[in-house]
Amino acid sequence: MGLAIEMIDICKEFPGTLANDHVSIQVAKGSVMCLVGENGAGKSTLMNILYGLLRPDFGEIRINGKTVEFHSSLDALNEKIGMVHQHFMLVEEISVLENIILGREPGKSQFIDYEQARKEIEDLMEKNGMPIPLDALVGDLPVGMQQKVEIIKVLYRGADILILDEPTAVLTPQETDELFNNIERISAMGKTFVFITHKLDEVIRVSDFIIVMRRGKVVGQVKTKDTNKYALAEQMVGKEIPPIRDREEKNGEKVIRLSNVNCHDHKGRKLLKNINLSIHQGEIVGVAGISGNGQQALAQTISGQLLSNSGEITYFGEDFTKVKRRERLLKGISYMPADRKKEGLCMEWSVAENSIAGYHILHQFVKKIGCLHFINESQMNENAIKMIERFDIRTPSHRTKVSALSGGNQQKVVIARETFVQKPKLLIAAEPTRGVDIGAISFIHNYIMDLRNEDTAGLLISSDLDEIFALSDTIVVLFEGEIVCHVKASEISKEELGLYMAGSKRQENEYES
Amino acid sequence: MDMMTMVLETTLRLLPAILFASLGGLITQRIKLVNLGLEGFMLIGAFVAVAVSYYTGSAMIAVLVTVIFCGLMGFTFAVFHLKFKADNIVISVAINMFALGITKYFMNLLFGVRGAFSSPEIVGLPKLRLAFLDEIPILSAFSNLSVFVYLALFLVVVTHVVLYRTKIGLRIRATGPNPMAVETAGVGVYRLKCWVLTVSGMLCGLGGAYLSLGQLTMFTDNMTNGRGFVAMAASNFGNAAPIGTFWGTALFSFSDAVTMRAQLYGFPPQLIQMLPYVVTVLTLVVMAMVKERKMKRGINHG
Repeated sequence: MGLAIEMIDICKEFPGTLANDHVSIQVAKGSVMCLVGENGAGKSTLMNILYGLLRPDFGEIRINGKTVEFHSSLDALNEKIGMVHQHFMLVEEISVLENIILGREPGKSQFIDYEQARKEIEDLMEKNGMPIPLDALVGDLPVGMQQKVEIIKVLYRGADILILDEPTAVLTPQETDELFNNIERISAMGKTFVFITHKLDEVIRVSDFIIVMRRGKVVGQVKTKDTNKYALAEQMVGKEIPPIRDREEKNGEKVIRLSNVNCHDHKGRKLLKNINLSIHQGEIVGVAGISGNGQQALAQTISGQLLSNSGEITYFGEDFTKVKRRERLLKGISYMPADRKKEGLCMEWSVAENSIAGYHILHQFVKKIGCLHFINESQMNENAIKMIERFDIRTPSHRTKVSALSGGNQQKVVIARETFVQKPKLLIAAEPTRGVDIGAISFIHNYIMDLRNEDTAGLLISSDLDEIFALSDTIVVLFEGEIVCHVKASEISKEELGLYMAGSKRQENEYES
Repeated sequence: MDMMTMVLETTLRLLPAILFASLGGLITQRIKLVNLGLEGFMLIGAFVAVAVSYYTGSAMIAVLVTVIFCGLMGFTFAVFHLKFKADNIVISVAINMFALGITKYFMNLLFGVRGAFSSPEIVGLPKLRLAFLDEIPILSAFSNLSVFVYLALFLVVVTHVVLYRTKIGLRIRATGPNPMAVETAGVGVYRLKCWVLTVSGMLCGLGGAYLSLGQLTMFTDNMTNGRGFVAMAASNFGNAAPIGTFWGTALFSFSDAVTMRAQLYGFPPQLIQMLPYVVTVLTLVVMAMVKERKMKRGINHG
């Protein structure tokens, strides 16, 4: 078969970085190509160029053998290229049907021919085996269904080439399976897929052909059947990944215990329902679940940012139910929030300032002049310099604003602050490796494991099931603010976990701990 | 005429000015843009209508010029907001203050009067005389109304149809919640917003023209007197849906009409004049409470 996409010698420079450095790729018609690489490897830049959102400084794009030049995504659409963005481009307040036809409404005059639209879309759904209720509001649909709306929307626009940007990031394993089946079916009908991801298991499963990018360059092009995920990982990072640290047997005392904890927000919405959970020294409890099912409330209830409305929390046997964040922090409960840009860091502050934020009340960082308390800057800087060395934070200096750092290094600043100044007895790590490159992921995983082996209790909240399985001793699943599953990590499979996450299964007998 | 008919007739007479403006507010609300400038657009519209009518002797031309003029002002709003990224609240306040000053200034400059301008040469808007309704109770309120009353009601239907049945309507409805989605669907959001603001200006122009040529045939300082804000409240009341907004406007006009009639019967005017504003605040509070309760219920069920 011929080539659907050819990108020849593409260069794109952003101030300070060469995002695409003479990149050439070829994708055959009707195939599934995976583009893998770490964050910042230039995958998104390349795809944005292909979709007309960015213009290359240099290079040529050919679609079906014809040279094209894109000035906007509209030009790309006209060449039958469609993109399913990582963050869906859907309007939650209008119906599925209206979302699909938006911008390409059928009807000769200004009036929309809803009958024709419905017929066309129903045909399309049947042909591709993706039934969606057309009259439902998009906001009422689960995420997996919303993604189907996006795919149908792209197909409705007549796309022959579909770019999927990190499509599985928000899906349960079952939804992922369904997506892959759909991709297989649709590509068999002659459509070409470009699939961006960093989950290597999925790459191996779904693709025909893999292109690996690193630092703006293509470093590998292989047929899927000729490679495996370890080889790919090595190519992506450029070096071997050290295996995760061994897990020591632990049988420590109970650090925190939540009994019948309930929580609701100011509008009366239930965030947490009857949570019963204990974490022991040297135990990592992994919290799985589709995001938005109470993970943040759970983390905040334990960290003390959110006080529970009923129930009891004890910490080393002491009643902690009404104790506020500041005291909990001083007593050794550290919290790495999921959103490091909004909650974890102050982006406009320097690395040094961020390195003690929250811990600035500790005596070593306070300089007293009379009754006034000032920050002891020399101590702060000294601490930051030590931290940068210990955690290998890549920054020009400790005075650099954290906004100038890469995602991985920012996350290292957060984890360093939460664990270095004062060793935590309980570490809450929410999405510790989201948007972080593989090198840093491996560092953070090993570091968390080290802490565990040194008797720190851990609560790991993650939407990445591989991460949950790699680190956790115990796994709980949150669904609509309730713990629907509580098991030893070794006693459950990913698929089964997926059923709990989707709310289609529920553990009958409670786990004893 | 009995009391009921008179109140109904007054309500209908007061309705169009607010209704036009609230439709203008409604469409900008749909693109998530609070247009507090309705008041200023209306005031300028009222002045332009009177001036043009005075010079040309034609209400038709006056309305046409007003609509074009206010449309251009709406477009200017769009340019300042979208191109120069000025805050819409700041622009709105500027427009309102500008309108207040400029109308005063030109009234003095062109007609040499202060406070109010009226002249027999100002031609008002035509009325639709339906003599056969005279003898029918209640319906006789409709027997001698300005054509603009019907135009306003007609525009409610038009807005409804445009919003829910046409391509541009769908795009407008989608732009408010998620402009990025509309943009990636290949629709120019920038142009769409320009259009919406321009039309919003035009509608306010109609409201202003009705105020000075339909309801009265004169111009006085600050004659809109908060009607633009009431219009905004009405579109809020109706959740930016045309039919709901119509009912909101009807409610406010009705309370206004009751106020006017009650004054004739000797209620203390200071007290009774508060009524429309009290009704406005109360309805908004009640609406907010109802909305919240609905949301809560939705959550408990979901």
